[in-house]
Amino acid sequence: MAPYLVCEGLSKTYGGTLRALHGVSLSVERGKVHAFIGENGAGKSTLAKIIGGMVAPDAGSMSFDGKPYAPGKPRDAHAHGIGMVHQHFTLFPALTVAENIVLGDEPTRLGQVDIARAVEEVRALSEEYGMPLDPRRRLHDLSVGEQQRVEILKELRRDVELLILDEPTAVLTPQEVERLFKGIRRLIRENRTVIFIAHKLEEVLAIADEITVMRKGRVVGHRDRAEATKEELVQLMVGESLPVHERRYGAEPGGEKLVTRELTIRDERGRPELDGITLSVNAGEILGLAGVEGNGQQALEQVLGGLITPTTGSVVLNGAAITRASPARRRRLGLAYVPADRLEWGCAPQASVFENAMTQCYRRESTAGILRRRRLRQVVRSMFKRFDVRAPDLDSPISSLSGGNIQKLILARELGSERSERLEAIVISNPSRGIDIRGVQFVHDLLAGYRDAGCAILLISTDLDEILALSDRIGVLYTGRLVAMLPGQGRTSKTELGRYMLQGDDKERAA
Amino acid sequence: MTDRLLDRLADGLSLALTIGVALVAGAVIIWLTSADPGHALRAFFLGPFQNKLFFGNLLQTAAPLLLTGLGVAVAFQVGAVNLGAEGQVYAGALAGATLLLFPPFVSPWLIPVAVVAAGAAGALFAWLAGWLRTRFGATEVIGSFLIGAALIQLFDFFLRRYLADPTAGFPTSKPLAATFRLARLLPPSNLNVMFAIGIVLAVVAFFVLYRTTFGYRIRLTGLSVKYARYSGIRVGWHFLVAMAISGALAGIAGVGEVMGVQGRLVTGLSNNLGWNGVTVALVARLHPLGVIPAALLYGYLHSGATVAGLTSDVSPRIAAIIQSLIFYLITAQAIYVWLRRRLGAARANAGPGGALPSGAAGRPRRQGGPSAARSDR
Amino acid sequence: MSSLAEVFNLQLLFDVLRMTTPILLLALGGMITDRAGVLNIALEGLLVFGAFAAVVGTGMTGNLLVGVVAALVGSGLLSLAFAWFALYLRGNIFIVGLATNAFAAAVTTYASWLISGREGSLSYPQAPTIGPISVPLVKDAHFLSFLSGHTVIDYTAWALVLVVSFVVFRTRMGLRLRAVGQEPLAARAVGLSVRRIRYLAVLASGLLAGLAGAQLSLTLGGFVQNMSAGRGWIGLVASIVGSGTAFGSAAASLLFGATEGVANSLQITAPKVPAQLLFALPYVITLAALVFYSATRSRKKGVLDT
Repeated sequence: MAPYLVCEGLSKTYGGTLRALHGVSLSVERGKVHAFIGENGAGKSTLAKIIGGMVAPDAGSMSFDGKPYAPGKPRDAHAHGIGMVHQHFTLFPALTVAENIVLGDEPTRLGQVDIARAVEEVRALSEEYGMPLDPRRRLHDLSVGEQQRVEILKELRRDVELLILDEPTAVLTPQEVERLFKGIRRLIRENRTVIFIAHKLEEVLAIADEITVMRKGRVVGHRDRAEATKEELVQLMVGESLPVHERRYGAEPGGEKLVTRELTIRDERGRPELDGITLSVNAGEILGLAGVEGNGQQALEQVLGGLITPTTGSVVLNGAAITRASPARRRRLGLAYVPADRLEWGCAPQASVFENAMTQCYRRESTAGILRRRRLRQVVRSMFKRFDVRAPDLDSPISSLSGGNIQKLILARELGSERSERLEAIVISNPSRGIDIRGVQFVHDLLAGYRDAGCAILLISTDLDEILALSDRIGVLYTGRLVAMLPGQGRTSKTELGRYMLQGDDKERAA
Repeated sequence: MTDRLLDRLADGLSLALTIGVALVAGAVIIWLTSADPGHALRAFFLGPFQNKLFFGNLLQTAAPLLLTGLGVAVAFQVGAVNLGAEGQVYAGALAGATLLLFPPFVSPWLIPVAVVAAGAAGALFAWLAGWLRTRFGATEVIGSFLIGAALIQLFDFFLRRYLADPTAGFPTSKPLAATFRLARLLPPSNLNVMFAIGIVLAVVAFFVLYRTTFGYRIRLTGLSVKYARYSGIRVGWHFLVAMAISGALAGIAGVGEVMGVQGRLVTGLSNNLGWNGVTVALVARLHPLGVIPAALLYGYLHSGATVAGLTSDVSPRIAAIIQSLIFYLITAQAIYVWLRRRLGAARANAGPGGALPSGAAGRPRRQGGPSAARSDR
Repeated sequence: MSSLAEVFNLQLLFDVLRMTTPILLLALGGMITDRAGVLNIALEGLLVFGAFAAVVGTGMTGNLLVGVVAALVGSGLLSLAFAWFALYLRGNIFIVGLATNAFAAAVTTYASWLISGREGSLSYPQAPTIGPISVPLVKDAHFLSFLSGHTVIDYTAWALVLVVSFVVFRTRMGLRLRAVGQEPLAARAVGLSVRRIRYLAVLASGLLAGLAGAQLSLTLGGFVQNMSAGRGWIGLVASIVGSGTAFGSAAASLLFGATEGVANSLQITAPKVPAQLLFALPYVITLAALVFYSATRSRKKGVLDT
C-alpha cells in the first residue's frame, strides 16, 4: 500500500535549546489507526502539532497523499483534510455547541450567522456518527466526554481525511474510552485515517494497527500491532528496563487524622461543586480519591489546603477544626498540601528556582526579618540533594526546569523541610502527572514512606493506575459527591472503579 | 558567557537602543522645527552641563521622579498598578503645605512632621484604591486613576477656596515661612536635600524588597498571587501595604516640591510627576536601584529641554515627546527578544518585561489583564 | 415660574445627551476591544488625538467633513500604532496603552505650539463649528424637544449602538471577535487569526474615539490641552459596567453623561458651588459605578481576598 502521510527528517527546537524533535521520519498508511507512543516529553505532541499545522518544523519535509505538504497554519492543514483534536480542548465555554462547531466556517444568511442551519447541521452530524449532543447547550454545561465529542464533530464537519487525536483518553473513563474507540473504528471503516497519541499501552494495543515509539525526540521503533508485545514497547519507551516495583504496602492504619464533614461548596450560580463530602483519612493510610477530571477534585484540594472556604461543612485535623484556618496555620499544624496545578498554584513561574524553593524555610533562616541568604542557599541545596532536584542554576527562572524537576522541587519544599518529621497529613493531587516513569516511581516511594511513618495521606488522582498502586482505600468523586468507598490494595478492579466514575451511584439506586 | 549574562546584556542593549532611538527622534524634530538647529541641539544636549544652575536643576528635577518612580515600582512589584500617583503628589503637597502654612509653632522640626503628613495623605488615597480592589474587586488600575483625577480637582478647590493668596493674580498660596524652605545645596539651582533623600530611599527600598522577609513576601505576591496565597502569605495585606508605601512616596515628592522648589502651593504643581514616575519605573525595569539612573535620565531630558527653551526657539515640551517615545519603545519586548537571539543561541524566555504586571493578580486570558470586566463567562 | 423650571429641565436633558456622546462612542470602542480580550487603556490618547486632528483638518480647509475625516484617520493611525506595538512588538498592552496616552498628549501639545505659538491650545478663528440639526416634528413636540438640535455626530453615536450590537452579536465577524476574546489559544487552533481580529478591534475603537474627539473639539471650535478630561477612562468604565454589551454600555454612558450634564448646568445655575468640586464629580460617580458593579458582580472571592 502506498504511504499516505510521509514525514522526513522533521526537527524542532523550542526557544533556542529545548530540542523537541530530532530528525523524525515515518509514514502513515491510509485507513489505519497509527499510534504514537512515548513518555511525556518524547516529542509526540510536537510531531502531531507539526502535522496539524500548529507548529512549523525547523527542518524536514512532509508529503500527504502523494503531494508535498507544508502547512503554515491550522487552516492549511484543514484545506488538505487534516484535523486535530487537542489534549486541551480548543473550545469556547460561553458559546453553544453549534457555535463552537461552526466557528471559523459559519453558515451565513444576509450577513448574519445562520444559527438555525448550524444547529441542524450539528444535529445531523452527531446522529450520523453516534455521538449524541444537544447543539443548543452551552459548552460549560457539558461533561468532559461530551466536550471531546464536540471537538471531534468539529473536525468531522470539515470532512477530515486524517484525524489526529492527542492523548484523547487522558480525561475519559474506561467506558467513555470504549465509546471513543467505537467512533474511531467507524472512521476507519470509511477509509479515513487516525493518528492516535497516547502513553497508555493497553489502549494503544486495543485500537492501533501500527505503532511508532518515540523517545527524546526520536523515533526508536515501529511495530505492526500483530508483532508488538507490551514488554518490548515498554523497553523501547523507557530506553532501558526499569525494575518493576510490585509493592504491597501494608502497615496497619491508626486513628483518624484528617476528617471532613458534609463539605459543600457552591459556585456563583449556586450549583454545587462539592456536595456533602464526608470522609476520614487515618494515620498510616493512603486514601485514594479517583474520579474523572472536573468532578470536584479542585474544589476539594483547595478547601483542604485553605485556599477557599466551604459554603457549609467542616475540616478537622487531629481533632481540631481547621475549616477557616489560613494556609499558613494549616502548615504549622502539620498539614502539607501539594496542588495538582504546579505552574498556577504550586510555584511562581517567573520567580527563580531559589525564590521558589525557599518559601517554606525563609522565615527560619532569617534574623530580625533580614534573610540570611548564604545559609538559605545551603539549605536549599541540601534539600535538592535529598530529593534529587536537578537545577544547575539556582537563579534562573523555575520555568526553565523540566516538569519532573519542578514537581520534585515542590515535594522537597512542602515535604522535605526540617519540620517534615512532624507532618500529620498530606493532601496531594495528581502528583505524577506529566513526569516520567522514574519520577513517578520516586513520588510513589516517597508517599509510601510517609504513610509507613504514620502520616495520613489523601491522594487525589485522575490516574487509575496510580490510585490502584498506592491506595489502602479508594473513594470515587462524581459530580462533587463521594459516590463510593472501596477497598484498595488490589481488591477493587479497574472496571468497577470506572463504572462509579462514569455513572456515580446510579447502579446502587437501580439495585 | 552564561545565559543569564547574555540575558542582561541583551536587556541593557535594548534599553540603550530604545533611549538612543528616542533621542535621535527628538534631535530630528528639533532639526526640522528650529531655525538654528545647531544651536538648539547643543543647548538641548550639552546645556544641562553648562553651569551650576542647569546641572543643579538636572539633579533637582530627578529628585521627585526618584520618589514617584520608586513608588510606582513598589506597586508594580506587588502586582498592583498605581496610576494615581499624580493625584497622590497633590494630596501630599496639600497635607504637608497646610501644616506649614498654618504652623502651630515655627521650628525646623515641623519639616519632618510635614513629610510624614504628606506621606500619610498620599498613602491614604493609594491604599483606598487598593482597598476597593481587595474588598470589592474594583480594579485598582482604573480606580487609582479616577481617585487621582478627583484629587487634582480637590487640590485646586482647597487651594482656591481656603489657601489662596488674594493679592496674587493666579491661584497660589502665600509663601512658606523661610524656616520651612529647604536649603539650596548648589545655588542658584533649586537642588536640595530631597535629592539625597530620594537616593537613600532607593537604596532602602532595594534592601527591603530584596533582602528582607517582608520584601520577599511583597515580591512573591507580585510574581504570582496564587502561589503566594498557597504559601500562606497574606496577599491582600501585602498588596495594601505596598500600595500605601507607593502612595506615601508620591506624597513625599509633593511636599518636597513645595518646600524645596515652589516655596508655596500652586496649581499644576506636580507637572506630570506621577505619570513620568510610571515611565521611570519601567525604564528601571521596576528595580529600585534602576530608578536612580532612570530618574537622572529624565532629569537630564527635562533640564536639556528647559535650557533649549530658554536659549533657542525650541519648546521645552520637546522633553515630553522624547519621554513618550521612550515610554513607547520600552514596551517593545520584541527588540529585546531579537537582540537576545542575535547574542547567542539560548532560550529568550521571560525577558525584561517578565516582572511586569501581567495582569495584577491574574486574569491570564485577557491580554494586559488588569480589568474589572467580566471574568470568565 | 413653572415654565421656567420646565425650560431648565429640558435644557438639562439636552445637555445630558450632548455630554453622553463622546463617552458613548468611547464606551462602544472599549466594549469592542474588551470583547477581543484587549483592555484598551489608550482610549484617552486616541480621543485627544482625534480632537486635535479634527481641529487642524477643519482649520486648514474650512471644511467640517475634512475635520471629521482627519480625526478618523488620525485616531485610526494612532490605534494601529498602539496595536502594532502591543501585538507585533509584543509590548505589554496595558503599558503600551499608557504610552499611547502620553504620546498623544505630548505630540498634540507640541504640534499646537508649532502651529499657533501657544502651548496646548489651538483654534482657527475662521473655522466653522459643527452645527445643530433640528429634527422636524420632534423639535416642536414640547417634552421631546430636547431630542432635537443635536449634531450629526450625536445622532450617529446612537445609531452606532445598534450597528455595534448587531455586528458583535449577530455576524460572523462578531462571533469570531467574541471567540478570540474568550479563548485566544483555542481561537488560534480553530484557524482564526487572533492578531488580525485584535488589530481590527483596536482599529474600530480608534475610529470611534476619533469620532468622539471630533465631537468634542468641533462643537467647541478649538483644541485645548486636557479637554478630554478623563473621558477615555470614563468610557472604558462605561464599557465594563455595561457588561460587554452595546446597550449596557449605552446605559452606563448615559449615567456618566448625566453626571457631566448636571455638573455643567450647576456651574451656570448654582455659581456658588465651586467649579472644581463639579469637575471632580464625574470621576467620583464613575468610581462609584465601577465599585458597585464589581461588588455585585463577583460574589465569589478573588485570589487577592484574605
